[in-house]
Amino acid sequence: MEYILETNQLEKTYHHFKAINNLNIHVPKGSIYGLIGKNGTGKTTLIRLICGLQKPTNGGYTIYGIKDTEKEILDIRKRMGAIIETPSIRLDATAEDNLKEQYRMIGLPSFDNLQELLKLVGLANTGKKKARHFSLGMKQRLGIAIALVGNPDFLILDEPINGLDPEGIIEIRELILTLNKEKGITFLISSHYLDELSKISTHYGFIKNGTMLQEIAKEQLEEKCKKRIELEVSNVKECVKYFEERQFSYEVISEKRLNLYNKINITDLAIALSEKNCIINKFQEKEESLESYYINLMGGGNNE
Amino acid sequence: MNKLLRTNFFRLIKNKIFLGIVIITLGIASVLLFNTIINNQGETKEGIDRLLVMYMFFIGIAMAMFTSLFMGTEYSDGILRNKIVIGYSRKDIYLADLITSIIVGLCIQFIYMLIVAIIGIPILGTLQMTVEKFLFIILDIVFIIITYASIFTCITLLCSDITISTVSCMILVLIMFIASMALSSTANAMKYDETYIQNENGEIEVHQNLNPDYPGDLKKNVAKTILYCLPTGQTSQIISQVSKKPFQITNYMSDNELKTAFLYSLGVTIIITGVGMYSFKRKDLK
Repeated sequence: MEYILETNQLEKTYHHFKAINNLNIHVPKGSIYGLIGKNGTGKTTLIRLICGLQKPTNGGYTIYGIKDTEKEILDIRKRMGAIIETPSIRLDATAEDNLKEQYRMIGLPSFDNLQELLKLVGLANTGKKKARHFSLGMKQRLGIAIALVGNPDFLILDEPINGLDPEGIIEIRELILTLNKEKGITFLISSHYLDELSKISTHYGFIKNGTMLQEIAKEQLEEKCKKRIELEVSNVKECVKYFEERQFSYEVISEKRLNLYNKINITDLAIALSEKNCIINKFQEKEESLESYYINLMGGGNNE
Repeated sequence: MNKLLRTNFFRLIKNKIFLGIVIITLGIASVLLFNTIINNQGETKEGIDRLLVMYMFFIGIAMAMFTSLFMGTEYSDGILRNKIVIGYSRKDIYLADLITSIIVGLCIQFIYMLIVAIIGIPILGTLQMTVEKFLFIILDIVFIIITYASIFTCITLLCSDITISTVSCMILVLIMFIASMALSSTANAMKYDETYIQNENGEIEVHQNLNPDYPGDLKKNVAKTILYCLPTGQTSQIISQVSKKPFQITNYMSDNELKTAFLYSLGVTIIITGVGMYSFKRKDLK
């Protein structure tokens, strides 16, 4: 798999506090990578390091295979855009002037596609209205438009839906999905809104106390979270044999326990298994949401 | 870096801080012109020498305001962050901001001089000093402005809070003015007091007496060096140099010092910019 961003034992220490601790992250090309963690777990610090705003204390990272210590990293950064906490916009300028400034800063010879960009983020009709009078959602979309100048193929968004109303959240979500599908832009999005992230992410990274607890693809996560029957049986071997014969989807958890992912009639199953000298001692229907998965992963109440 | 400079200059066109400072400069030019014309009603024309450099008293405050607000806004609006994200080196960002501040300082100073020259020359007369001296004064002024720009750029880029950086820059100018005034008497102390006595034949004789308050050569030289390192110190020395009365006692700056003063500014600028760039490179930005 081709990764746009990889970190290697990344570490950032402020005085005696380790904000990032031996963190490894792998952002696949073309993905929407959701970085999930509580407030203060190091999500923004990680983004600041990747964007070059701060230097790692130890370890390093590569963007498009270029190490952070190489000179070429500055050229590589031209292929990325970022919104960190608040969008980088000039409040006393219009949306168009903000974009023009970014065109100049990047060194583009003309303002081609400027109107197209404004249209894409839904700000084509803002006219002479100053950014200071924009709603939070509009500012966020303008920030994304600015980050899109120069056609980057990697966008980093730090808490992009913080403070947005439901309509604003939908707009940002739609925009991210459009950019990912139509322009092939890879996203790294940090958030603690699990529900929202679950609607767009193709990959997840769970971060706790500056450490990456788990990286997982959407399909794998769905597999782990999907509806299942947890069975405790007297003879797992016979049970597995039976599931294999019927091509059921299952997972052995321990010597006596398995998960069954197919819809079945429990009476029929109990009769069939008893004929094979296997008794069901306990069964429980389970379904895990991303939220409960996250809570379990983070250690639930022990995490506080 | 050219792209950053170009962006900064485009920003200047619509920038209210810059516009405000230009308007204030025009106001100061008018007041100083009016005042000089009122005080120069005699037959002999004073010339515009002193008037041309008078704005140097204000340029420090003007540049402190401009640099801290213009570049401080980059911090508060996240523009500085954006520059780094899209791949500009901190060295380029620092130098582009420094150059912008220098150019704005020079612009303001020359707008003032231009206005004063256009209106002042027909009424007050042309320069009384030699062209060579005038050119050295201009050279010193340019380097004083560069020093101011380096100081304020350093403070603003190392302090991410716009309010703190603006207040710090303004207070620093005042401190430098106070320090210059305090150092001036030591730096300009004369070893001998001169007394002019008319003898019996009607001739003027000069008598030199050792000044009891003379601080000593070492103290004087140290004070003078510090004074010349301060842009405010050089300003007061230059203004005394072009004082309107030819025998005014405040005419402290020798011609030789006038020609070498810019070297002090250059040294201070190199040190401050070096330290500033080094610290900015290592600074954790948010």
